[in-house]
Amino acid sequence: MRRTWISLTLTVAAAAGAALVFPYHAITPGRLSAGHLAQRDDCLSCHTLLDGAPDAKCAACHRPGDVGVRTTKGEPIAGPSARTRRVHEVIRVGCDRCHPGHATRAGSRRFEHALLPADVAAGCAACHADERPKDAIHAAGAAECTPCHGTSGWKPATFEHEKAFRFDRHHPSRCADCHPPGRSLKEYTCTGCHEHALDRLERKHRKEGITNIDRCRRCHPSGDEDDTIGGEGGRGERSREDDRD
Amino acid sequence: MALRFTVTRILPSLALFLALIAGAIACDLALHRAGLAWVGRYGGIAGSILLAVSFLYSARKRKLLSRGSPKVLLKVHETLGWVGSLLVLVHGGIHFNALVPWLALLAMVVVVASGLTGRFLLEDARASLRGRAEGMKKAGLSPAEIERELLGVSLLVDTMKQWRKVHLPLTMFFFGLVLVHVVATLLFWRW
Repeated sequence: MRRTWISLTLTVAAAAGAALVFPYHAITPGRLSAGHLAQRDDCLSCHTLLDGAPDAKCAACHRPGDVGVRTTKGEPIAGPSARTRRVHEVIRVGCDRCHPGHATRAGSRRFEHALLPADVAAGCAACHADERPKDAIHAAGAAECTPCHGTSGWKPATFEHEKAFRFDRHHPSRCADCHPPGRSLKEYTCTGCHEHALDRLERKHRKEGITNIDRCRRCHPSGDEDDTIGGEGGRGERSREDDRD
Repeated sequence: MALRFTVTRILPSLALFLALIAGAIACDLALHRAGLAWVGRYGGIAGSILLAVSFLYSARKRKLLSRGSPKVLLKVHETLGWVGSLLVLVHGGIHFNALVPWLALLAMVVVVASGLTGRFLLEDARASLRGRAEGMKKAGLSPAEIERELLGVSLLVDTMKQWRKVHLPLTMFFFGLVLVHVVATLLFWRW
């Protein structure tokens, strides 16, 4: 029995001693990044006992306004990132959510848009304006990205125009024909061509007892005047779900 | 005879040990493949709790506990010891970050091997006693005489006593390292 207690005491003394003298080699849960190696045996430079690594200790070196712009030594970063800076200004989670100090096998958890405040997350362009392609589709759109894109990557983009409006030979896929340039792609007009002169359309619909002709595709998803849905002449109101253009 | 001895005595313990190692590798691999490597962190907590509960047997043997069948508690000790070790092995993975947790993991594997050796020795000594008892029975001794004769045979007691001299210090070495690892983790943990 005495031998048992001696084993325990000696082991605890040796291990605790090692943890105090060279903690990085004795108890670290994972290697530190190169930038933190200078503090490797000074755990309390980042940690507070029973409080992990509080954000305040990170911010003492990594000043929030400097993240992405200047190094911890105050030197300008070669390729400053306004987006990085902005994300760090608005995000409301602890630093270790995305930057675990020690590389553990669980790895760094990546940034997720869900971590942003809702109003910031909704304004894609504030961070991604420089990523907008210069093609016709994107040039015609306004700020909304979410109807087509998710937050895990620009691709795959999933918007299916066919669900909103079917193209045909009379209605080719030229964005500017229906969508006012520079405005939201949710906005469209069917009165821009000779076939659909506004006064003629109003007259024709009035004969059918239809006065609301603001949302053409609600009743004419293919643009064909005979291919109608939503009741006789569109008088029957469709559900709000269907009404979302 | 040798084959039978190997199959009935050695293989079960060896198979349990190999199953522990293979099971840990399989679980770790599955967790990594599923992107759930972080689960291993909590496997360490669960495994440590199971190992702690398995020590009820030791407490019972040292009369720190007055209730519970030693036979049942031994089974619990063996089972929880194996499952707890599996979880702790998954928790540790094949990572060598620091000396204390790494040595603790190594000590645990040695303790499990030692435990399985003890299990084998116990079974072997019991079988040997059963053989002696059958021999005495064939020689015409009464059950009371056989029992009296066997009481004088200290084979079982001696074997396990010798084994404990190795198993307990090893266990304490493991326990000490775990203690320092857990205390260090809790001190630097965000509560």
